Amino acid sequence: MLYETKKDSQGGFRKFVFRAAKATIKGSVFYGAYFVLSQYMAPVFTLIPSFQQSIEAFVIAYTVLLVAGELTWGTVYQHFLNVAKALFVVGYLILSTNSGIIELNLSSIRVAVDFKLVLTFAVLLSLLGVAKAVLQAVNYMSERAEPPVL
Amino acid sequence: MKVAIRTVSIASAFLWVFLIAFAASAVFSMKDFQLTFGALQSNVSAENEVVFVLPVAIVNKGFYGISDFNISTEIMDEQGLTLARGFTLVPLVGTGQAVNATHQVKFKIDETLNRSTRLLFDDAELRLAETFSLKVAETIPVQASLNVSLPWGAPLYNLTVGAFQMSWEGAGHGGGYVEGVVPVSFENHAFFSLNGTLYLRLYNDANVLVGTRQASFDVSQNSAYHEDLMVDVSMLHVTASGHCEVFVETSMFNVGPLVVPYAL
Repeated sequence: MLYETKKDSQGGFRKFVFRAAKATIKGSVFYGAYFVLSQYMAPVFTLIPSFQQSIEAFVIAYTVLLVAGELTWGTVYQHFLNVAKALFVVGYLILSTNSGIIELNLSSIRVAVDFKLVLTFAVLLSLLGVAKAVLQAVNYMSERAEPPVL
Repeated sequence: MKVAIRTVSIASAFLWVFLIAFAASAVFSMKDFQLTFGALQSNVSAENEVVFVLPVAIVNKGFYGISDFNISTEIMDEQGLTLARGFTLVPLVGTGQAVNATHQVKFKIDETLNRSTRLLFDDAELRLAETFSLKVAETIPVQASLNVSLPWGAPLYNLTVGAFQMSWEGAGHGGGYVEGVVPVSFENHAFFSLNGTLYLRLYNDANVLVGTRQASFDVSQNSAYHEDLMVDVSMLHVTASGHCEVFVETSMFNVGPLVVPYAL
């Protein structure tokens, strides 16, 4: 009995280490992708410093949600975090882009960029992410409700 | 259900990668889009229209085509009254293409000066509202606008009709007429030369025409006109007071009458 409890706790620790490693890798890959993209976006960041701050805030929040989702893998909280992550992307995109129209004042020139079309696609994809997370939650709950096979 | 979830995951990931790559490359390719403006030229056409010409060179070395490139100009006076509008549209600038366009803004000078007569006699700062719009990758509309000022030189700056003076010398020898003098002066601050005819009509206090005179003039830009116009005045009708009317007729506009009272 004591031997089984010790075996269980060792298994749980291994699982946690595996999840932590997976979360670290995913977080690093995500940040690496941002880092590579930011090199190409450097001229834009120089022109609009607030844009870089906004993107960095997004990357930090998304990475936190990504890592938390991985750490809670296999629990119902993972699905809550996935929904939160998808909704965060929708909210962030709409708020940070002023509903798809960005206006800048560069000395005496006023520039307006209307990327409602791209935003619409991004919001639709995020909503697809919400739908996927809900499906995963339903699947998780139905699997847990099924009686064990004797 | 697991198959459906996996399918949604794969499709979603694929579409995200496509969308991010498209948006990032569209923004990135804008750095290879060059817009160069030549010197602003102004001239007067044969139809008496003032024409502002702005040569524009568009070079697109980006990944995507630029569509609906539009330059719009609105010229306003100091009170905000629109004097002229001009549009130039380049439907498409493909990747690796260079397009030279000429943006023109025309306005009929007589119509404009009739609406805003102050521009005839006073120099001003006209306001130019410039708007450039285009579609990056033929899908993302971008608009840039700026306001600049354009100095306007009045063609009849400081038009002055001086006091009417009459010389009684030789009276009675000219068949009942005496000689009068009206000094007229102005400066041509406009960017075009001014030629036309100046008409002078002299009326007595009973509003009866007592003398007329017409004189042609040719004043180049940034030059002054000053002339003492001789008028033969009817001795029978001239009175100690009255008024003179001045009309200016040029190939571009007509002005008048400018009424100036006189007292001998």
